[in-house]
Amino acid sequence: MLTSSADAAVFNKIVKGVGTSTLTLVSVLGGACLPLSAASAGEIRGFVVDWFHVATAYVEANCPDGLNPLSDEFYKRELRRLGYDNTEVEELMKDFPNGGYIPVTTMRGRVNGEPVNVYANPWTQPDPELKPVKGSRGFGFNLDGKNGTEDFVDPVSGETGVDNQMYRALGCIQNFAFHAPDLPIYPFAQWDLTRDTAPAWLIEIRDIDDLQNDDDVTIIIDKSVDTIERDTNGDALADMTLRVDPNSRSRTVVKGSIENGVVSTTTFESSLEADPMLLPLFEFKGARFRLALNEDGSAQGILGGYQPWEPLYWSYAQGAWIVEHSAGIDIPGVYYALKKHADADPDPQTGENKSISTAWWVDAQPAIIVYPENAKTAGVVGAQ
Amino acid sequence: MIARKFGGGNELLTARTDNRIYGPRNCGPWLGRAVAVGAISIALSACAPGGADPQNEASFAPVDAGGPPVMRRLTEEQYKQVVADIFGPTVELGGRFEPDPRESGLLAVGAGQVSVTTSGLQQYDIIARSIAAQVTGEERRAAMIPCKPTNAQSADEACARQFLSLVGRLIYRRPLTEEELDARVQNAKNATEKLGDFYSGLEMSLAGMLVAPQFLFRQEITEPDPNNPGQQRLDAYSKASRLSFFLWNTAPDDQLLTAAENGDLHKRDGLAKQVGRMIASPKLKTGVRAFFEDMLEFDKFSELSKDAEIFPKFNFIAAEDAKEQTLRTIVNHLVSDGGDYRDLFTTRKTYLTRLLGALYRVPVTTPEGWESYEFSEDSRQAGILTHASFVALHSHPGRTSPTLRGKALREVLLCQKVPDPPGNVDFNIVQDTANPDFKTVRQRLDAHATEPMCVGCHKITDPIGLALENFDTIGGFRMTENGAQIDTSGQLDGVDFSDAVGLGQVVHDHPGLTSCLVNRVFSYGVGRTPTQSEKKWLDSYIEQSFAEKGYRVPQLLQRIATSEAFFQIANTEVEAAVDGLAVASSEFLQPEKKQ
Repeated sequence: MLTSSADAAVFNKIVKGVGTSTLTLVSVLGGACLPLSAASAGEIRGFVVDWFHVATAYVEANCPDGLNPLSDEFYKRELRRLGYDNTEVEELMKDFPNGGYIPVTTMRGRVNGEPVNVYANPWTQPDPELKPVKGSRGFGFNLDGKNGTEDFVDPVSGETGVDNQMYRALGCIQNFAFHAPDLPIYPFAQWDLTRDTAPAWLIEIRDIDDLQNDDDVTIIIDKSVDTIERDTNGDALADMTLRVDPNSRSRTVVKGSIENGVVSTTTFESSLEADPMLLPLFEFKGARFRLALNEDGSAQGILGGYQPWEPLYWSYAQGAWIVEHSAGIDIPGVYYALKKHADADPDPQTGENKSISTAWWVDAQPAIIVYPENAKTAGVVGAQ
Repeated sequence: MIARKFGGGNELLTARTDNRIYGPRNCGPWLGRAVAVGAISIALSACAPGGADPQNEASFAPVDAGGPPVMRRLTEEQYKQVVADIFGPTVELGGRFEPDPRESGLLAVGAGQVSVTTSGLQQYDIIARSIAAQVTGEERRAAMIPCKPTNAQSADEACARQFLSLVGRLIYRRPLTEEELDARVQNAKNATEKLGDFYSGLEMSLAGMLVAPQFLFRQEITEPDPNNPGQQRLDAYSKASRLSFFLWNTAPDDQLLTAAENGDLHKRDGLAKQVGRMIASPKLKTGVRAFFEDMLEFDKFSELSKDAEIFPKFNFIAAEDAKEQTLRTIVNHLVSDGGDYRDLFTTRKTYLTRLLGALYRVPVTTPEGWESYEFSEDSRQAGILTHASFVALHSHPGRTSPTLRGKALREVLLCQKVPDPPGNVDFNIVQDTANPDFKTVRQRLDAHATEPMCVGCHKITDPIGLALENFDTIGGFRMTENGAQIDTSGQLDGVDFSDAVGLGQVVHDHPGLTSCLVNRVFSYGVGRTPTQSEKKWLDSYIEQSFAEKGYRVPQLLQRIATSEAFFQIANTEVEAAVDGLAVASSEFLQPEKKQ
């Protein structure tokens, strides 16, 4: 999604090669061998997204009331709520994580007294009231330009007024109780399970004159037709050639700057397609992105923005019982928590917020990004 | 023997070059460096007009009668290729092969000095049974067996005989004798009677043929030479095998066996016709590929590993791709394009996969498989020395080794022998890549080479290997090591270069490069090191012929394969062995004394 006609012009110039040589259409590598100050005028750096997951910043102070219960505990709670006595609950749960409780807890929603699938209809069970994050440490950006009581302070950038209500809603789930760059387990699995087959996400930084400080660069976020390859550590293999999807709906072009080796964008809107089996369609509004360029050519950063919360919910709900019992995530609890903490995009009819502020951790590896027109151009550029 | 010095000053790299006549194309840079007695006149003669005249080959031919006949175990690649040729490429081989030993730089020579161990025989048996079961199985029998038994539950001698004689000729690389065929047919009959199934009986007999020494070993048979009373010669089928494994790395096909049967291979015209046919065949690519895979010691890829923590890009697929990159480059350049052998060390054309593109950090867009690629003129990547196959194969798992790389270049490509290090060397300085006082391997080696026992050999190897320091342990390009700029300058036998591209050019022009190839090719074909007089013939006549043909490898193969020397057999093994030993021992480089 292009944010403005000016961005569209920038993009067209880049992609169509208007006024540029063919060489500019292929990303220079992330610079594994080059010091960060070694950019040449108008240099391009390409990256492939290695990891993309909820940016969690767990410290005990964030969850002073403790963490939310795991599934063996909340299933028993739900069974008791449904009227089973302790003996029956123990019997149903005796073979956990397998056993007789599964159909019962799956159908624990009630509509007119009749059981319904609670994952498809989360509103049919009462709000289990997940414990939210009460501390102030959280990744992201001040998206609304205000400093409110609900806002966080980013532990890396130090930015105040950080809007990240998704983390506030879910950050005390045991599965999320990690501090980036440590990976929260289920979000890690969501990304890891899909990235061998899903088109890779690409990031390109253009118009770089100085990798340390540059007040005018262009950032392109896009999608490839290729998937990542893994290295021997299971990460995305660095320096692979990845072809840009000519029909990508994920393309975003935004202006930005580099300060002390960290790329920061202006505000943008972006649509990012991932594997719909496990991840939502990301439709960020009011988004910002920062990316620290590392000496080894890799990059790390945070993408933050307002995201419709219902697709977020469905990315958990479609895993249903498996997500609940293995990841310990109370799925209807997620529904209620996201709904409660949503902080943007009010529905004109109901006044309920349809979007929630979020922050996502991004790890990226250097990549060679090739545009369709140039797909067969060989030997035009390299790290040499 | 004339000891020659390449380069001035302290260089003292002696190499046996009796009567060597270097090719006329690159005399300039080397002429002024040939300083030892007699060398200048030799070099001048090399630069003179004229050259090898095939009609006068007799005057250049080896004065002795060649080496002994050789019995060589099929290499793993040959076994696989033969089976694929006879039974089709879809037949799968189970089991493991015994490692092929390397001798005088070649597995092809080592294959003549091995037997089969008990466990090796068990593996051959497993593989043979697997092949035989597939060939006679329901899925393939209609295509493989040219007849049907009158009753599938009982023996059919005629059908068994027809099949076994047909495949036996290809498996044994000659027609079976009556006794052999009778025994195999009887074997099939006995098994059929016990198992109650004709095809099972055939399977047992076929499996027996596939573990027979006549199959597993290339036995060269001699016979009295009617043209040279008192002399022996290879029989026609042995000649056919020698030719076929030399040019195609597989067993003779039907036409070649027929030519042997007709006696054509004993005739100059008949031999030339068959060699011409084989050189023109697409199978030549297989043969050239097999030779270079052997010469470049690519069998070592099977045990190549890298530190995954430091080099996460490198896995077994990358290793296979690296090997394949170089072989594709070689075969395409030498066979498809008919290129000059020396240009392999300067060419920027190659083939890459996406994985290799990541290794070299260049764009490769073909999602699966290979695409041709040409490194840019300003790239420091040129020639096969800069391929991952060379720099990775001759490095340690976690760090580069200019010493190993330099040693490999001298031994593999120039046929020089670098002495092994003494057993009590202290490698601490070299191995400590984190020492802030020695950030680059050049600095570490300089410090290490202050050890008197080390300096001599390191002067032979390191200046060459250091030229490749822009390529890390897995072949990735780098300009710095531990933050320090890498200096890739050096010299090879007195000729300076500034980087890997320059080194490639120096290797391209080095007289030892082509003479080494000529000797290796001959050794590969005959399965032994050349005798002294063969070496003289190779270093003079054949190398000159190679030069006149523009260093085209197919022409070199053709020249050797049609020569009398290629098939000549010594009357006594002792005579030949002593002669060969003398040549082998003369290839050692002498470590330079510390100045």
